[in-house]
Amino acid sequence: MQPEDARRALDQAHQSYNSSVEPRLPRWAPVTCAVLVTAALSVGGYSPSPGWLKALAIAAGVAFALTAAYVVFRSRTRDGISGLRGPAHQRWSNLVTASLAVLVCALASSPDLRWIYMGVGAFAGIYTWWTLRKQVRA
Amino acid sequence: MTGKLDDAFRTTSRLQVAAFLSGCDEAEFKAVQRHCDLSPSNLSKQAAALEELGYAAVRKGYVGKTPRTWLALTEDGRRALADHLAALQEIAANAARHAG
Repeated sequence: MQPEDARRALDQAHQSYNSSVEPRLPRWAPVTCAVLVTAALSVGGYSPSPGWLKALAIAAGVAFALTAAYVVFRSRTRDGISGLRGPAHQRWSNLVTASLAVLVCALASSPDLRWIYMGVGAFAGIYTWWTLRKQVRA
Repeated sequence: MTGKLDDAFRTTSRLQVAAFLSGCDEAEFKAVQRHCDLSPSNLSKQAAALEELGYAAVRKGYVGKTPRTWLALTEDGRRALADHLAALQEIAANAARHAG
């Protein structure tokens, strides 16, 4: 096989894999997910007193994050595609691990650190929008 | 050579279908058809060829009263595709090395 043919076949395989793991999203999805991710980190790290309110804020943060993930996966399921395999599965596993680390940090955080969570939330929201906007249906 | 070229993936449409299915557990026939831009008859042909080789599994069922078909890549299919892609990568890398 000629190298040029090999490169073309690799590109084709890469494109097909990507169209399987990256669902076509409706126009509203990137902004919605960005807002949900920002809210998840900001609310989760807000650390209000007393303790039960802090637990409630963290639970709300988790709910926002799960809703953002649901928006992405629901689009894929509606498309008739189920399960995630290959490098994309690894990327989502890493994201879940990072989210659990943030959750543990949020449990131990103090009200002084809430601005850091808001800043990280804003950055994560922009990054989410930037990443997902490429997947919007034409 | 680490990978091995597999004749099953020599045609573009079969490679497309296999690579698409490698990203999921299973996909509806229509989703594969839409994403790979294939006609129903062409996709049926490619799926049948992959199934015959033991690289794909075809499952028929119903969603409500509507008949549906799902396609999936088997573990053998995933291994064969990974080998094929590794071989392609090696061909491309060797050419780049010689050119450089």
